Amino acid sequence: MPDSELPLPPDVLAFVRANPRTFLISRRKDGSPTGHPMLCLIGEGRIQFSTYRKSAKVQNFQRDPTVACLATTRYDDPSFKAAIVRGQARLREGLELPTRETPETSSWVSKGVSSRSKERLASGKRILLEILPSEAAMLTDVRRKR
Amino acid sequence: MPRESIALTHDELVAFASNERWCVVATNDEDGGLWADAAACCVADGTFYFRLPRETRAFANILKDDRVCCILERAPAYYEIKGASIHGKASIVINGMLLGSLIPLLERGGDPVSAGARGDVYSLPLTDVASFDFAKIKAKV
Repeated sequence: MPDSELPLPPDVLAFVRANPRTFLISRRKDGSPTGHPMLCLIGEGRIQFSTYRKSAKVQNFQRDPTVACLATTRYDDPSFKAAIVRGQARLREGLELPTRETPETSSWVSKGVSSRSKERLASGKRILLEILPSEAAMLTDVRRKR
Repeated sequence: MPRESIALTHDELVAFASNERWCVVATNDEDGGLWADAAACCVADGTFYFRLPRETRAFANILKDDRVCCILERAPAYYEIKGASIHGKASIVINGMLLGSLIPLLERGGDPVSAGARGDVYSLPLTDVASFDFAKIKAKV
């Protein structure tokens, strides 16, 4: 896997902005893959996730920062599309929660949930996981090339 | 104080997974990284099944390392989110009668990425599962 960071291609970035539903893949202690359904944020042009500092996924990334993200259309969208982003995950602290860019998701995550996340980020209970991509593409393009 | 459990019971997990038509399949990639693809899936007799087209990278990865994680998620509203991550070793299904009963279930949604694509069917026991049901959160805000 390439190890240098690349900017997200415009089509992938546009897709992830519009479709924040993302399956975050990490490795467990025994080296086997595991996955976490999440809603991602975009901050400084990179994919970010707000999560608990003590969560299993944070522990996994502290041990092994290797990551894959599959951003997809909603679970009930009859026309499935997805984008894959691979690279390294890093923990960011002391940052504010980026604003959710899709109106649908902004209203879906209640103000109560959103303000609690901001408080917990400020207190350090939550942190941001940021993805440094080394490879990114629309899934249909990847399959077409094989 | 013990942490509130919001995990699905086994029966809830079977009911939830039985209604899903596709899942995300996570694999260890041969380049040392991780890979994720989407696949048709179903549950029959308490076992989870998924189908990967042979031209996918996930299919090639499983030939070298059969450890996978299949992830399901349904999110009609925040406090209705349900999800499950099913871990284990993927076993290819070669039993013709079993395949015959699984294909109609896998064809409900077909392959989510490549319409009409077929492939090999794998089984995964529902034994090593991490799940959640946000409806079970007591302190809703």
